[in-house]
This record gives sequence, structure tokens and C-alpha cells, in this order.
Amino acid sequence: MQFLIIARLTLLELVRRRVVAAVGVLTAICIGLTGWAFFKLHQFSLAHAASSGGRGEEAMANAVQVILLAHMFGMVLAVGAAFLAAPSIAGDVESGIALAILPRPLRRRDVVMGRFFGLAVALCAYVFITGALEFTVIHSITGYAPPHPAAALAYICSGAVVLLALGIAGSTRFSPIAVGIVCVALYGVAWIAQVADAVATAYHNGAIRTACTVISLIVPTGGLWRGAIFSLEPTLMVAASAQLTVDPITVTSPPTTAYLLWTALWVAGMLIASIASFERRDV
Amino acid sequence: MTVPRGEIFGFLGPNGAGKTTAIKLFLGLAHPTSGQARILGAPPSDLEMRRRIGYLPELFRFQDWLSAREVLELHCALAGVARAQRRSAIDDVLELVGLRDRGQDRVASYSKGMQQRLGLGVALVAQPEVAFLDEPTSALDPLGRRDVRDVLRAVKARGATVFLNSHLLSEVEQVCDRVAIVDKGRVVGGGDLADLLGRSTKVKIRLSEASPNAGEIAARFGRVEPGIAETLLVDGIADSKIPDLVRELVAAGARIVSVSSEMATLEERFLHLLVKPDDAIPDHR
Amino acid sequence: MDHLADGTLRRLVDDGETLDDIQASHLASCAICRSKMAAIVDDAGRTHDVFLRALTADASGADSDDADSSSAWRSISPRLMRRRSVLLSGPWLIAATAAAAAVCLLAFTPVGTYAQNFLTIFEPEQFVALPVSRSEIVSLPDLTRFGTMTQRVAPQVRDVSGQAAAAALAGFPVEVPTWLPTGTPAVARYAVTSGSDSTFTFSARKMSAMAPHGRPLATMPRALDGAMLELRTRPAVILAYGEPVSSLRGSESSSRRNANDDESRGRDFPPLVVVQAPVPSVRSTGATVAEIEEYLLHQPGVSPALAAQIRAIGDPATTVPIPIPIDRAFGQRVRVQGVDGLGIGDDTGVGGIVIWQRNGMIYGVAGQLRQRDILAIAESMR
Repeated sequence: MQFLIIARLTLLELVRRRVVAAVGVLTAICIGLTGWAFFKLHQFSLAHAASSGGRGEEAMANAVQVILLAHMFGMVLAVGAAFLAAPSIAGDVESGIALAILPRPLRRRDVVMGRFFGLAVALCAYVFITGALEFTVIHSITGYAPPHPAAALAYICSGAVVLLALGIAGSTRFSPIAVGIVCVALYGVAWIAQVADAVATAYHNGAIRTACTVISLIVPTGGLWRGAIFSLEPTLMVAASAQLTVDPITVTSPPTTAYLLWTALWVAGMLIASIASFERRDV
Repeated sequence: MTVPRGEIFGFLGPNGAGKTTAIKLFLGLAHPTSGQARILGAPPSDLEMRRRIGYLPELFRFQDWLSAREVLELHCALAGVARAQRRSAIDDVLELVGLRDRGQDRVASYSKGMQQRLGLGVALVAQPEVAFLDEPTSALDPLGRRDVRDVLRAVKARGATVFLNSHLLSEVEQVCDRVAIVDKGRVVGGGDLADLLGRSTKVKIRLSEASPNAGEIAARFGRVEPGIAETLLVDGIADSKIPDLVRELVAAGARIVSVSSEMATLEERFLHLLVKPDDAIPDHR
Repeated sequence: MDHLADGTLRRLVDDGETLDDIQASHLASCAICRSKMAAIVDDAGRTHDVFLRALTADASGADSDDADSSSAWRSISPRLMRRRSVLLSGPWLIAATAAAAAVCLLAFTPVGTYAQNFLTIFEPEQFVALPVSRSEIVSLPDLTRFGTMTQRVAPQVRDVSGQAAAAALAGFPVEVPTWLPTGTPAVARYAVTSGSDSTFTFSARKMSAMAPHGRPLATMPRALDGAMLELRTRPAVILAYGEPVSSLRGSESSSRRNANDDESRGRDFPPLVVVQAPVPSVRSTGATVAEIEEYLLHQPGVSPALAAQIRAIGDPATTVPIPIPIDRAFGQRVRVQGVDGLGIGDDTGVGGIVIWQRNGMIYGVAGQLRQRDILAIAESMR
């Protein structure tokens, strides 16, 4: 259970180094601003939809807004996960903190798992608290609730956890800055691969599709991103998008169970690799 | 190389000789390409053994967003010190290293010297049977160094072994029972400190004026080294014979200003072992 | 100058928007923009085709884009084809397609032409959602390669004054919802579409003539050559709540849209539409329904998985598979007035559709409402 000590230390570090406070304040501002925007939109819609009696337009606008918010949130979280994970082990080794800790009766895997566990808990707690708050604010202002909010948050969490695992694996060998940049870049590549895949599907380009599939297997954040967006899309929005030959923005299918299993295996594999790499490292 | 229990062992060598690397190998921080180490009879990977050791790294940092107490608490938890005993263990060690009043403060507010003291505290907080201390007196003022020497003696008195890495020979000379001198990754000498320094002594006798037969008298007690006329340097004289020499010189009419017995210093030994004719030409590779 | 934006080109194609001189001369001289434009025209044409034929079993649609025969649906189709804006204005599309689905059973799909063949139905008893992935849709061969579609009678739309007038014109008793969610306008406008009558004739000759274009197809069995499918739809009644049904018509709403885009956007389509019609009849001559289905399922481009799924649905004479062009079925089976129906939508308020069939009639309710409200409306039809 030594890894729990490290996990707890990791959480304490986030609090003490004011990461939690800074993120909390920023998030509160974001939620306030988006709440205000939804409020204005709602007022506008009430004034203009009165004659037709139709509120579908507003619901659609809300759905689109929520999805755009999720895009932003997912991106911020991915970058956050990368930059939390990148120094997690490399930073301790560089600063000499690891020197004091590691001779204790502590396996290297306890350090890796503790770091991963602590950061994962922090990220997931953040996602669910912020997400629940945001959805509640939107619902109380406009009455709109996305189709599967909990699933969307779970997908966003999974994406963050994937990047976390990747970042920690890199962190056992490389400098924090290198790992951070690589993680964010891979996240971007995974995202664009999803968009390219949608376009390639429309134009029957097998080679591009294969490349995109390979990328989505190597860096599974893209598929999870699709899942998050898909969970927020109203059914009819998906159906409407499916009418179009090319629509790289709307996601028409969630990731398959096989893909989710692969992602779980990928994270496990990444952690095993991290442990193996860190165990062989001289500090 | 073997370090017996209950002693303070000095591991000496010039910078870059491999002292720190050796400790890292002992503690499993680095991996040997060949050879093996056993500490308390166990290999470095043995977690049970690691419960019983303490380590003060040479270049280290603690989580500076924790207080000293929290750092010590963390290390107690990692070392498996029972929860009930942690408080008193932490109090004791803070007292020992002189940080009792600053225990609640964040490490970030500590001076380098205080961090060094805290490092010593961390190494000792879990009541280790072996404490590996890598340059424990670096960053300390003379007063701090004396404190560290007291701490080391206290640890020894408790029956623990101290493995002391240092390049400060005077420190080592003052506290160590036994030393090993390492150079370029190899042990080039060592043993019991008293043996190493030798029993044979040198005495320096200053006279108020040159005395013609003083040299002849002294030559009967040991080898007289050439020097200034007013000063006699007699090498290889046993401690017990010094009073006799003084009496004979006085009897011969010499006027003695001072007599000082000089032990061979560790530094001389150190230089003797390390500076070989081959080394006269620096290796620039 | 820079190349023309995709949006500009689309508006040019879809809404007939004009370019200024600079843009026009650029378009005339720039190969990139012209090819982009050509692609948009092509896409729009295909969508147009698919919808027109799907919605009206267009008589001449097989060989030409002549849309005169279906003025009502033609008025909707430009809106359907405003590709990007469709995404953001789902409800119109949804309501339009829902209405169409109820009338023709086929509408909700770019593979409508295919669906026709699965709908070789005399008395459909239930609807089953058939999930089709987008890549499957784009790989399906064009039905027009197998034969010729002709329309003998094209449907017409007429506004009528009320329930009684609609019933008199359509020839069946008209049911109306007895419950509406608060906020929905209580007064409905009525319109009646006339029936249509079209045939599809399988032709081995046409198939071989088309062979050089496109991918090879499975050889047509002898029995199928010359076989005819006759699709006859009967009058349908459309109830629109909130806005006159006539605002469905393109010219009026598009002129209003230009005049004041923001004002009219939300009103392009009524928030609630109820459609009812007798089930269409489809007769096949010369080949059995099963033979036709088997043949079509063996075409390249129809994945074995899709074919198996369709076969698993059951007797094509009684079960209507409604292809939902998404990777997973969103249609869920719902219970309406004691029978199984098909629901598409969710409780987000963006929109929903319920389709069911009872006593030889097909009913459809579509609206910009929560699915549970749409179900309640459907349940309250008397």
C-alpha cells in the first residue's frame, strides 16, 4: 500500500502548490461566463420563439454550445493532464526528491502507480465536479440537458487518463518539457486523425482510413474524444449529420466496446512500461 | 570492502572518485554493471533491509511545500514507523538536529544549512541501523559542523553504523573509526584510522638559540630532519621517549621554547596514497 | 484574390445567391474554385436525387432530375441540401423527413432508393430500425443502374380548412392529438397530399448499358429482368402546429429568410407535425419479393453484415426495415396505442419522431420537442 502514500502526497502537492486553487478560480469564472452566455441565449430565444411555439431551435443551439464547451474542456484537460504527468517523475528525479524517497522500503512501481493514481483521482474529480456544475448551471438556466452527460464526462476522464499514462511513461525517462510537448502534440495528432478519418470515409480513401485507425490505436485519445462528443449529441443531430457525405465535426458513432477494451489495455501496458523503464533507471 | 557494525566509517576520496555512486549502488538507486553489495546481510533490493537504513543524499531536495514535520512524517510512513511512535520519533530527531523550533515551517523557507540539518534528520528519523550520510557537513558553518559531529557520535552511541562520505579530511579524522580511500572507483587504501596514521610520531622542538650539540643528542632518539638551526624535527621517536629527549637537551644547556608532538595527518596519508608518479602528468582525455 | 469560401459556393448552389463581380470573375478563371463548385453541385444533385426519389417515388427521377412532378417535396429539398446549415437547423430537416417517412415509409435515409426495395410490402405490420453506417451508405450501388423508375401520378399538396375538410378530401377519418405540451400552439393547419403511383422496372439491358460506369454488379437473374415493382401511395393528411403548412413552401420562407434571417429561422418548420396516411401498397410482378431482396443484397457494396442484418429482420412482405444511417441504432422500439412503433430522438428537446402503424394506417408525429412529449402526443391521438 506504499503507493497510496505517494498518491496522497501527489494530491497534497496539488493543493499546496495552489494548482487546485488556481484551477478552481479559473473554472468558476468559466462557469460563470458560460452560464451568463446561456442565460442571454435563453432570453433571446424566449423572445423570438414565442410566436412559433417551437423550442427545438434553442435546444439545438444549446446542444451545439454544450458540445463546443466539451471540445474546449477536453482540450484544456488534455493539456492539463500532459503537464501534470510530464514532471511527475522526471521532476522528482531532477530535483533530487527521488533520491531521498527511493531508498525507503518503496518499490519503483509504488512511485509510478502512486503518481498515476493520485493524478488520475485529481483529474477525474475535477472533471466530474466541474462537469456536474456546468451541466447543472445550464439546466437550471435553459432547461436543457444533454443526452448522456455522465457518459460524456467518463469519456473525457478516460481521455485524460490516457494522456496521463503516456505522460508518466515519458516522465520516467525524459525531461518534463519534452514529455509535455510530445503529449500535447500526440493529442493533437489523434484528434486530427479522427477528423481526417471522417473525410477519408466519405471519399473512400482506404490508405488514409488505415492510417487514422492506426493512429487511433496508438494514441487512443481520439476515439475517446469521439465518445465524449457523441454522448452530448442529440439523437436527431446525429441523424441529420449522417445525411451528409462529409461531416467531420459531428460524431455519428461512439467508440466500440473493443476499442474501449483496447484503451484499458493500452493504459495498463503504458503503466507496465513506465514501471519497467523507471526500475531500470539510475537516479 | 567490509564495514563492521557499530562504527563510523569514513569513505574518502577526491571529487569524482565514485563515492556517491557507491552509495547509490548500495541503496539500489543505481544498478551495478558487475559486483554486488550486501547491507545488513541483504541485497540492495530487499525492502525489509531498507526499513533499517537511513540516507542523506549529497544533492537533494525535499518537497518544499511540506513542513519539516510533514517531511519527517512522510519518511516515517514510508519506512513503516508505527503511527503511535512517529510523533516522538519526529520530536526527538528535530531536537537532535536543532530544528525543534522550526518544525512547523515550510521547507521552502529554510536556508541551505537548515535543509542540510533536516536531511540529516530524515536520514535518522526511522532509527536506522545503518545511516548513509553523503557529505553531511556541506553547506554548514563551523558551528553546524561541530553539531553534526555530535550527532554522529550520538548515533554511534546508540549502536548504529554510520557510513560517512566526505572529502573533508579533518571531519573524518575527528569522528571516524575506520576509513577507506577511494579513487577512480577503486579502494586504494584504508583500515583502522589509528593504524593508518601510525603510532610513530614526530616531535618539533624549538630552541631560543642554536645549540651545537642538540642535533647530536636528538639523533640518538630518532632521525633528525634538516631544517632551521633553532628548530629540531625528530622523526620516529616514541611518545614515551620525548620527556627523556627534553631532559637531555636541557642538561646539555639547550634553552627550549616549545615542544610539540606532531601526528602524521590523514591528509599526508591521503596525498601519499593518491599522488603517484604517474599522476604527475594530468590526464586530459 | 483568395479562393471563394465553401460557404459562398454552397449558397450559390443551394440558395441561388449571386456573386459580386470580383467573385464571379475569379470563379470563371480559377480551376480550384470551379472544381470545388462542381463537387458541391454534384453532392447537392445527389442528395436532391435521393430525397426526391425517396420521398415521391419520382416518375422520371431514374433518368433525370426533373422535379416538377413533386412540387411539395421540391420545396423542402433545397433546405435539406443546405448542407452545413442543415447541421445547425436540425428540426426542419427532422420534421420534414419525419413527415416524409410517414407518408412514403422511406424518407429517413439516403438509401431511400434501396429501402424501397426492402419495402415490397403489402401490409406492413411493424417497423424495425436498421442501422447502416455512413461508409456502408456511400458504398452502396446506385439503384438506377438496375432499371427505370417512372411516375404515373405525382403527389400534389393542398391546404384545407380543417379536420372535416381534410377527412373528406383524403377519404379516411382524420385523427388529432387530444393532448399537447404547454407552449405548443393549439391550432393546427391542415394539408392533404394526393396519392402517387410509380413503377420501377428491372432491366438487364439498362444494367449492361450502365456497366462501363461504376463498379461491376452481380448479374441479374433472368426472372428479375423486366420484373416490375408498383408503389402506390394514397392521400396523406398533414397537421402542422405553430405555422401555416404553406410556409413549408420554399419561395415564401426563403424570401422571408433573406429579409430577416434571425426572425424567420425558428419558424421555417412548424414545431410539431402530425402525418397520417393509409399504408402504401407495393406490388411486384414477375419476381417474388424474396427474390428481389436476395438479388439486391448480393450486390457488391452491400456488406455481408448488413445483408445478414436485413435478412434477420424477417419477412420483407410484412416487416419494414427503416435504415437509420448511423453506426448504431438510435431508433428504439416504442409502444404507442397498444402497438409497437419506432421512435427516434431523445429528451433534449432538439426533436423527436414517432412512427407507428395501426389498422392499415401509418401515423407519424415529429416535432421540436422532447421524445417523451412526442410519445404522449402520439398516445393521445383520437
